Amino acid sequence: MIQITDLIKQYSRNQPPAVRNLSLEINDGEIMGFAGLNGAGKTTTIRIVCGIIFPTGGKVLVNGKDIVKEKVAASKHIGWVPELPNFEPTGKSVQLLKYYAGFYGIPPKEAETKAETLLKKFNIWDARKRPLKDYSQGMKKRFSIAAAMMGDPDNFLFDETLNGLDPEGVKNMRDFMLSLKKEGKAVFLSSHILSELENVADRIAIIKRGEIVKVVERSELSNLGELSVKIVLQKADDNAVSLLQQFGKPENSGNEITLRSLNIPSDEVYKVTEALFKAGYRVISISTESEGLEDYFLELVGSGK
Amino acid sequence: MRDFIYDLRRTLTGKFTIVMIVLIVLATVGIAYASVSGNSSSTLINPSSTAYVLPAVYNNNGTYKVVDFAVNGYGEPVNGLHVVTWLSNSGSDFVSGSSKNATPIYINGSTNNNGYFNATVSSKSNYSAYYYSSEYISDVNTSLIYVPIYYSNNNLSSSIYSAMYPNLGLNLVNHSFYYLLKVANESSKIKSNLLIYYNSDSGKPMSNEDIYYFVTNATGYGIPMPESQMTYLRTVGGFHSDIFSLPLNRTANNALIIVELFSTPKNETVAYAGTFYSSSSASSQIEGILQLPYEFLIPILGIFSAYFYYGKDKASGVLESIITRPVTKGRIMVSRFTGGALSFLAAIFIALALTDLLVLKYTDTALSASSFASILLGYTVEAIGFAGIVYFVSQFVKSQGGILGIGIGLFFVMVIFWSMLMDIILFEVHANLAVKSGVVDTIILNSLSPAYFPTLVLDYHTNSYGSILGVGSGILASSVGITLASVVIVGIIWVVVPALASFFLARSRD
Ligand SMILES: Nc1ncnc2c1ncn2[C@@H]1O[C@H](COP(=O)(O)OP(=O)(O)O)[C@@H](O)[C@H]1O
Ligand SMILES: [Mg+2]
Repeated sequence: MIQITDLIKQYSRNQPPAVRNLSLEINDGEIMGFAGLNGAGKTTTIRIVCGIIFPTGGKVLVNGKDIVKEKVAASKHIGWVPELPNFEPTGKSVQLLKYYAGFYGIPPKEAETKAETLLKKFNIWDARKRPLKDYSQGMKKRFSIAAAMMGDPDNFLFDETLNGLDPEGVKNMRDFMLSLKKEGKAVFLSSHILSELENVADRIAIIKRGEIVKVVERSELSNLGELSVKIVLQKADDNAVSLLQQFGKPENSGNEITLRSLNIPSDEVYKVTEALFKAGYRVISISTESEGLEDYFLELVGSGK
Repeated sequence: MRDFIYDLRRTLTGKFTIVMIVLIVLATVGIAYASVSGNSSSTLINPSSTAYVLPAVYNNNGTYKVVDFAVNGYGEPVNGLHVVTWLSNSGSDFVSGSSKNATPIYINGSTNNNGYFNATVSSKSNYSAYYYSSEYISDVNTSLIYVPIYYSNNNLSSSIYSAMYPNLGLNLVNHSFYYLLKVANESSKIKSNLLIYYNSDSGKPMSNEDIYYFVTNATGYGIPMPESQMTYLRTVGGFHSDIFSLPLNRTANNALIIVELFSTPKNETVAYAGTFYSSSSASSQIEGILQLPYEFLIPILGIFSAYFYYGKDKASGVLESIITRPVTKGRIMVSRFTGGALSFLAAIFIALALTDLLVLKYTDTALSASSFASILLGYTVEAIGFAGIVYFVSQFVKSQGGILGIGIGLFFVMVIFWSMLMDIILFEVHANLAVKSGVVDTIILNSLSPAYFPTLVLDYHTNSYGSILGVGSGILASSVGITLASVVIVGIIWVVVPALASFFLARSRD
């Protein structure tokens, strides 16, 4: 669990604070999204929580330990995945992971086994003989996740980790984060693209110029933009389209029907499935999309002064 | 604490540490080997082309008997040495009561196969001095100075000491001459032997006497010393000339060795000599070997090690992935700094120990524990001082290039040009270097760079300010403030202050 209270960070006197009076609580078993435009203060917040830089004011507790005053105890429970992985360029993965493990008092033998498991899990075991500077950006990112997991911490901070991944990579990463959540870990994930967080975060804190402007629940999220429902049927016909008119405005192309201008709340979308099912249609997939989410986000955090 | 030890161990076993130790050891040992293994470096005069004349003169009622014994630098008799001598009563050290106007009597000749030149002359005049000069067979003039020995009633008032006989002890007792002379050792360039030569009017060999010796580094001593303060070596007698070696510790180099002969059984001093055991000590040799390479190597070692183990990682952000671990910025800094310091100590220790062994093998002299310690500590503190400055700089400068650039600049300013810069300052403030306060100012200014510390330690150790390769400036180090306390304080400052400042900055800054 991470508790951030009234956090302030001012890098220099002639600059406005990068983070001001930021309070946030990331609970165990929760994935907290952290959305904001570039320069909003996400990385700054994360670096303070990880003990890399010092806060100008406020307090951060990690599992109840103050990251400034009880750095060593607090850091035991922190796993940091940086925006730009930066490791000893000539280092080798196993060596480096073993080095990190030493700070947690993990004996070398055990650390080696653990390193192997993690490197295999993240699909970079085969590259263990190569220096880290020869890794691709994706491999470096995966290595930094392995490095964050080395101490088996209770809290993970991912800085723009989904950014730049291909769709499969995004899916894998989401699954991984969900598995962390399942294990009861607290996950803090930043992104400058709100919709990236949409399908993974339980809550999303939206930050603008160093301040939290809103914390939204996942359930609220779909209400924020304009919700649409995408339905794929085994065989769509005009009857199906007219059947769906009671819920909004359907448009079909082939076996895919998009339902816009919904007249039911997002948590009643199951009624659509129910109606189709009762009428004897075989539903292959049904998903909700909030098409206007990004617009909403930009309006909220936008550069409009 | 565990994290500190852990990171320290990694620094100590790091690749850079190993490379650094190997490099410095190889460089040092290579240079040491090149300078001690060759004979060409010897600046000593070849002992076999040196001749000493050990004169004796007896006056029996106007009959002057002259016995000159010639030996080479090893103490071996010299055959065919041309000897020019004369009896005179003029000289600076007249014995009162003698007539000053006697005509000198010249006595010239050559030594025989046994190294002796004997002559007898008669004169009504009263001569009080016997002058002699000699030329070696190969026509090498061993001396252009006519060296007198003064005598009166067959008793010398004091032993003589001259440039020609640097370590000669001479005493005249009851119509007999005792000579204690330092001679070269055939098997060692640096070690010396002791020649005891005895000549008496009667021609009898020396009766039994006890050899005693005393080794000291102190400048205050008095000769002759009482037997009770000296070490007994052996009882000798029954010869005219013999060579002995003293069972000296290998670290007794550059020490003053006082040798005395005591008569048995009365325990009176019959002859004494102060002699240097070695003309070139291991410490001045090793100093000479290390001085030039270490002037550059040690600061480079300190600067680069600090850069590679800390500055570079800090500026590049590599340190961040370590700082998020259960450790603090301060501890990481201190453990890396300590690791660096210990690796300097190890590197210099190994290099110095191997050099010492090499010098021992080739010259049979070794560093004393205190010489070893002062060289080791001097250079280690210098390296730590430079590292500390780079650690300090790393707290402010955020780019790798910036830190490296400042490190290199540091090398030029604080190593290459430092004493010159300080000289300019001293000149500008009109410091008078001829007075002690001016010398103290020079020392203080120079001490503002870690590069000066090894010199400071050495000056303290030899108690001689500004000595170069064993040749002193004549100023006692203690008289210009180079004392144990001041050296220790400067050393502690260089080890602790930059590191401590860096520690507090590292703890409190991003
Ligand atoms: N080391 C630094 N020194 C000075 N200003 C900084 C530093 N790091 C970030 N900033 C400034 O703080 C603000 C927040 O930056 P950052 O936390 O990186 O935002 P984000 O991660 O949300 O893009 C920006 O205005 C940025 O320029
Ligand atoms: Mg960022």
